[in-house]
Amino acid sequence: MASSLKRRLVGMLASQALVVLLAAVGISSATGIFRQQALMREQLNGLARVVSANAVAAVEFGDPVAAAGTLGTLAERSEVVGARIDLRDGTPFAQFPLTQVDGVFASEASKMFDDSAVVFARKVRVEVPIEGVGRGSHDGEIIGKMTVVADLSGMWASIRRDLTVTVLSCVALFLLAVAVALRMQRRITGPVTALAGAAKSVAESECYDVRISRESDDEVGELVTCFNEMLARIRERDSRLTEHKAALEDTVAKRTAQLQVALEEAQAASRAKSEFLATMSHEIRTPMNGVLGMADLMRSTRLDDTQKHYAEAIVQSGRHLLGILNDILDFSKIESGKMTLESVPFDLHEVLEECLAMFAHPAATKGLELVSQFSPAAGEVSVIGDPFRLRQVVMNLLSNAVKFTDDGVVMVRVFVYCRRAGQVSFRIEVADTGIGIAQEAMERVFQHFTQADGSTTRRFGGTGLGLAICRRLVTLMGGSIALESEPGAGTTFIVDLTLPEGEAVRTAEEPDLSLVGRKVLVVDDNGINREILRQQIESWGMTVVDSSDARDAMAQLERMGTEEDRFDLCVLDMCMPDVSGLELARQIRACRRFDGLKLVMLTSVAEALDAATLRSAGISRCVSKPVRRSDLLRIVVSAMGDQKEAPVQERSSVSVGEPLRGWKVLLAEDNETNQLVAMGMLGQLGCSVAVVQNGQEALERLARESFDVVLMDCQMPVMDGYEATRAIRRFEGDGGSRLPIVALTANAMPGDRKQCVEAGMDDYLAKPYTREQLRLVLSKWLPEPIREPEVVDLGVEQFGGGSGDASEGEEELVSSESLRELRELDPTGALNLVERMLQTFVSGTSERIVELRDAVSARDAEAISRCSHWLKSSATNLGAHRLAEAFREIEEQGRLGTVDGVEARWARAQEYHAKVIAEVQRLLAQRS
Amino acid sequence: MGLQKVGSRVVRAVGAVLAGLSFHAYGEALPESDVKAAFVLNFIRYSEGMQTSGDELRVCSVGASPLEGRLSALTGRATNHGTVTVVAPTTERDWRDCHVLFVGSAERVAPALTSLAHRQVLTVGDSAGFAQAGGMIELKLRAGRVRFVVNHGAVKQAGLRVSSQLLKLSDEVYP
Repeated sequence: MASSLKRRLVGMLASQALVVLLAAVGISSATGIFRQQALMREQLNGLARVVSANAVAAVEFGDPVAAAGTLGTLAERSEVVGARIDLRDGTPFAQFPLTQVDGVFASEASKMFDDSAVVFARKVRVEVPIEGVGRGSHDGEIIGKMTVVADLSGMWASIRRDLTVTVLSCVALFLLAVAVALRMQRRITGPVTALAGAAKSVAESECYDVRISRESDDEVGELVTCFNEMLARIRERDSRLTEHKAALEDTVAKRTAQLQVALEEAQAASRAKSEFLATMSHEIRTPMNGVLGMADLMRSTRLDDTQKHYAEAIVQSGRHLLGILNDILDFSKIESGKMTLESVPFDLHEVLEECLAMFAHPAATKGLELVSQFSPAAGEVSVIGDPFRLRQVVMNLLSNAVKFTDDGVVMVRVFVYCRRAGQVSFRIEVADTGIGIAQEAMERVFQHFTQADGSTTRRFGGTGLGLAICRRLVTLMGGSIALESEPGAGTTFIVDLTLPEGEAVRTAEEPDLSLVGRKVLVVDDNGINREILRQQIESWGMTVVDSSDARDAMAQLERMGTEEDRFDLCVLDMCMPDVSGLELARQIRACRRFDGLKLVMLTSVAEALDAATLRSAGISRCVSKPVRRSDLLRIVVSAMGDQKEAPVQERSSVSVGEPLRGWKVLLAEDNETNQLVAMGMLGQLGCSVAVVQNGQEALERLARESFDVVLMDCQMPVMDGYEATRAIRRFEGDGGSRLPIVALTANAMPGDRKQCVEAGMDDYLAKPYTREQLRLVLSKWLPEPIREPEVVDLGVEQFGGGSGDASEGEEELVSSESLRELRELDPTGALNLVERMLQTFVSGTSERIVELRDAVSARDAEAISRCSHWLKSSATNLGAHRLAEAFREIEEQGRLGTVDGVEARWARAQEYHAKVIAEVQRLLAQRS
Repeated sequence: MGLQKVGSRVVRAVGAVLAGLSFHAYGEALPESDVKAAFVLNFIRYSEGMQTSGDELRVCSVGASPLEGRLSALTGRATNHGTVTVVAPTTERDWRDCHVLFVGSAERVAPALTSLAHRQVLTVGDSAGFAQAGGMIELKLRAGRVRFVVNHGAVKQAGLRVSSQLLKLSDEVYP
């Protein structure tokens, strides 16, 4: 680039010089030629005139010799090659040189040399007239003409010389100009080249410390200055950037550290929250188990109406509390993203039937019809998902439906609408005929802590979390939930889900071949129920005829009178207008023709019938609604297999005639209250119980004895339930029988179930549980189901109440109520609950009494408080309320740290204690 | 061979004569008297100092029919001194009125020159010894050509002037 600039600059200057020089040469040459010619012309003309003047006389006198002599003077001029005088008439008069041939004067040989223009010919001629003289006024008369011919070679040679000199000078000047241009160019391009080089080196090295020295004050100098300034600025900026970058890195590092700390804190907080939730769950569930279990047990004892009412209230409140607790736990789990869904194969219909079964009772008590419709009606729909959570959703919807419906129908519809590529798409609809939801409240109900409106909260209660949880659960499952409603006309919740299709979880129902082709008459006033029953029964290959009332049913029976066409089975709905199912049964039995017809009664839970009534009506089986398909199949098969006239009551598939059998249950539980609850419930269910304190003891006990089932608390000292279960499973090995182990846990955190299953447990029962839940679980794992216990009348009086000795006006020392409760927990007395309780009291308190006495004499407030607390609890458990009160006062004083006057209280307490011990000893003596 | 030689010489001689003739044709073309008359006119033209009055230059001829009458033909010719008038005076006194006097006979030379002494009259004669006798310009023949001699002393004595050109062309100049 620099070389190009240099070349261009030099070229420009040189060409300029060249042009100027060429112009100068041209002009000087032209003027030189012109001037030389003009001079020559002037000279020749002058000469010719002078000579002609001299020759005039010769011409006048006709003296050619003289004329020739005159012409001879021209010889002085070297360039003159010839001259001639012609007379006026053209006659040649004289010429010079005399010997010259005529050709010289021929007009072709030479060019006229006059003023007109530059002549480039070698030979020129000049003509001047010869004028006569002495003619007076006629002077100037032309008497002849003189012609001079000149050879301009000399002049041209001179011009050529001049030109040569000029051109040579020009060449020299041009070279000089180029040399000067080169020098000058160096002065201009030098700084530019240096600048370019510096810029290039800066660009290559990125080193901005380079400075270029300024050598001139022109634009290039200014450019250099600007360039230097620019470099300085860049360098400054560069350094600022570097500083900024460093600062930024620092900041980022600092921020990252802060964020790390914050993240760790947040994670720690989250962990703490989760742990808190788990702990709270456990801590709350343990006493809740006591409350609910005991209340549940209490309900089944002999109570007067008021007591029954109170007990019911306790159970209801407890369950409600438990529900709220569960809701809150679930919600916080979902909110914190800790909700994980299981993926296990399950039967959709079974899950929904279980839900329906759980709402059978509440629906019936409210007088609601609870109906279900499955499509397809037959065959299982096995899907992979979380049955527990799906059940929770459906139960929530059902619970709402039942809660907000005063009369009418609650209906559950399930239909599979797409089975493709291993995916099952289905819709669950829960419709009611309740109060409905206003349009504007529809979206709100899915938000947490919100119900349709404030007033419903007042009227119906509830946390408002249920639907929020439902929506989140359904969303977690990848489905959607929506609702359609019209205020006053009812609400329909619609759940759409698509789950992977599962393997069959149980062997497909193989319809009993004995059922195929049999004829069934279904009598029900409810069309939907009729249709459902028809679909179910027909799916087993039976022929169904339905009838909406008793009259029509009788007519149908009459019509099919012949042997081949007769009905084999009649399914009756208990509750029908006009003629009830029971009445219809009686009518049927009244006709001897229908002796071979088996009757199955469908009842609501609320309208339980006693066995005697059923027997008298000739009903073979009785099943409560809603009817589970599997139950119905079992009932139908067993009814068909019955010998005629062998009516037995079926209640939820439990045969009344089942022989009692004392299943042996091992209970591993460290908490005393929970031991008592479990023992009480198991006792009522007719099981014998062995109790151990921890897993280790359980293992030892199992080594000695054999049990039918183990109830295993998960968290125990020494060895927990998981560890114990794993040990048992190891001991069992691959072959041999497998001992059913049911986990009992107060933890409601996710993964509990999974952890239990992984440890080798078969089932899972969350505390608090009801006797019914316990029964259902045990029924699942025992070889035969356990019947529901009747209300037992244990006759407290036969053991003798503690109130016997209580004098009038004085509070009894040991509450007879407490003793009765204990006895009712142990109706058969096999566990010696009361005795053990009493003995524990005697042995336990006597040690503590000594401790307390020492504490009192030492005036140790802390020890007083601790000992009296323990004694207070023991006295309370026994029902020795006055003694408990006395200890409570001492404890109070101990806790406050004021031991003044504690001796008086101690003396009173001691006195009470002695009396209670005496009473206990008396009771024990009486018992044995 | 000899004959041829003679013939070629003749031819050459003839050629040379012809060539010479052609070269001098101009001088020989006119009769002698005409040339002499033209010479007189030219002498007038190349001379100065004649006391002319008005526009008349009187040329007087002395002798009987000078130049065979050709001199008279000059009458009416213009010169720088005036128009030429050729006269033939009868008396000697009349000569004094002339500006130019042409003496055409030898016997009349002496009286003419004597009567015109110190007169401002240009004297021209064609008799031999005219200039020697004190005449100013003498015409003569030499080699067949008309030539002249100038007596410059006489000219100057008479108070006249002749052109240097005339002097240059003259065969002889007497001081």
